[in-house]
Amino acid sequence: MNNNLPDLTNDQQGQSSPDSARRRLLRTAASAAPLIATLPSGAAFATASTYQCISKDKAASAGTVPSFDDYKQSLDQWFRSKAYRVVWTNTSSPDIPTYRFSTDEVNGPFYLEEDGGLFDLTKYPGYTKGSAVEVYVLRLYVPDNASDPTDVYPACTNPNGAGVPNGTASPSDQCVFPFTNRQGDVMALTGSCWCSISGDC
Amino acid sequence: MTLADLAAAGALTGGAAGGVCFRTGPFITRLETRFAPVLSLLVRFYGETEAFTTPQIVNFNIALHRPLGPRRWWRAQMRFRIEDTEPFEPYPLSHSYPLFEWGLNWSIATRSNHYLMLHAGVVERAGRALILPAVPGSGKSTLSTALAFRGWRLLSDEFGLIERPSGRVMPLPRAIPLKNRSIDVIRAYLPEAELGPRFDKTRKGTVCHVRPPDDCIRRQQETAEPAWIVFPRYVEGHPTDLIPIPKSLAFVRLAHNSFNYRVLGATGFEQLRALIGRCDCYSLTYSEFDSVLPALAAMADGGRQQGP
Amino acid sequence: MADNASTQWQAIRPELWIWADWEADYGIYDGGTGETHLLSELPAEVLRQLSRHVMTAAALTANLASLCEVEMAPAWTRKIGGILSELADLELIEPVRL
Repeated sequence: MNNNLPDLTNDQQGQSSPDSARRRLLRTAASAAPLIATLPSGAAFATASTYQCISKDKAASAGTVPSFDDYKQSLDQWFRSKAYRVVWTNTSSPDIPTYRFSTDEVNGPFYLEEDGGLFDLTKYPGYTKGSAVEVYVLRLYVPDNASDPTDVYPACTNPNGAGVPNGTASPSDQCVFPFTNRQGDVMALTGSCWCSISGDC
Repeated sequence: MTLADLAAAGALTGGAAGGVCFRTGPFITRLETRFAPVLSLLVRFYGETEAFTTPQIVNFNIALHRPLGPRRWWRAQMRFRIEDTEPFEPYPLSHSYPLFEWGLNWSIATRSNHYLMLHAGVVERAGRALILPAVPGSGKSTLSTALAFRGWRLLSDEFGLIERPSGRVMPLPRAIPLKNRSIDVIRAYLPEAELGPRFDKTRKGTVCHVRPPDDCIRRQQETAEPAWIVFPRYVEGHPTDLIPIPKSLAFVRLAHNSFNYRVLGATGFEQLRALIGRCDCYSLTYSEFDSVLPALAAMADGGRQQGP
Repeated sequence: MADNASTQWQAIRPELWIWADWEADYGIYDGGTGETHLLSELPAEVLRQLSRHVMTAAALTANLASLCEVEMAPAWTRKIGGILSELADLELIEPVRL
């Protein structure tokens, strides 16, 4: 095994300083939501069987599982990632579960509803933030594909139609679509599906 | 000597006395069966493949035998055996040939970790390979079939075998299993393609195999340099959309579409990274052969991708 | 989140890492866990720095603020702390036990 760390320096005198291209990327990255995600276990066979598992288990799921049909063509773009499940409450209205992925405290925090849309508290008067619980979710990976090197995190459209804004105001720079979670003993998927996805069993 | 030669000489025997030994891409397969319909289709689809009458080091020792007892005759079944293992439930006797093909696929996928194995169709043109990884149901086999008869050499419709350390793609040309609607699509679009019998009510619906072109069988030891990775998706009525994708996304998707990426550990990561580095990467949405085939030909003729 | 700005952090066996570098994202195979991770620029820079030096969260945060040309504000500190927490969950880094 070799530690072939990408050489971010161009300084031959042993000083550690990124070259100009990397510095530009770092400046842009500073204002964006960082991505840390992990390839689910089981690879090819898991994706097809996972879809079958989720489809069969939707009716039995304890939690909310957004429509899977929108994502089934993207079975091979999944990663798993840590998030926080934050439930907003109102004494006279149903709870609204959201997910906070971003450690982007510079511009956020931001919360995503279970369909992947941005949660806008101004549209929900009377709601207050409840507790945050660590969960693991599946995310659809949509990387930077901009030909403009200054546009590191382009806009991403939620297939459910709720567009997520671009730029520094966007927490969903990586097109985060929460569609399952494990939260203590409450799982949107059965244990067998979760194990298939995460290998965390 | 080929399987066709053996059959012509009346020397094709799948019985216990040695079975039938033949080349399957980089592998040598030995099939032991007395069931004539399977042997007949074997010769029909792979007649041009190299056959062996002298002892060989065999990669896959496969046996197809009918069970003893009532299931030999009543709701007759066929059993698949690889080495000393019977990994599947018996199939109906009428599905014996698909059982052989799927069983051999399973054997390759579970036992060939000296390759990085992609779940992909692969075709070749001028020594350069187009890799078509896809989740099941995306139309990969149908597209691979069309390409195989329109200017490309079929390397495989199921396995992208990436050799170490060269990183080249190894051919594994097999009869292409078309399912359900794809059968009629190919029959209409490629009247020159030879299709085998229909097998109805299999676990994957109706299945019908396309005989691989003789050229791809004769050249099944001729490797190719990987050049393009295209993730295909059939969507009815959709115009052909061939879009460059970032290499990071291609890596993620290819890892998902690999049979043994995780098994290979660091080697798998390095192989995949190297493969991505050598290839131009695209996503493809299509619905019409008359549109997508010229688009892929233009991609192949068009030089290196300038993109993300 | 980092419990303490003076907590020292180090990479866990970075000699077992293999990197892939694509534009603004990185892939990393961790031979210690067998996992493949995808990282954007900032978490990758955190790993790069911690693979070369043991650093306190405070020093790392200041270093990164300088590189990224941002102000050392509480929100920035929380952001880096969140990254450290997630990387620790993935067993890529760990607090130094004295």
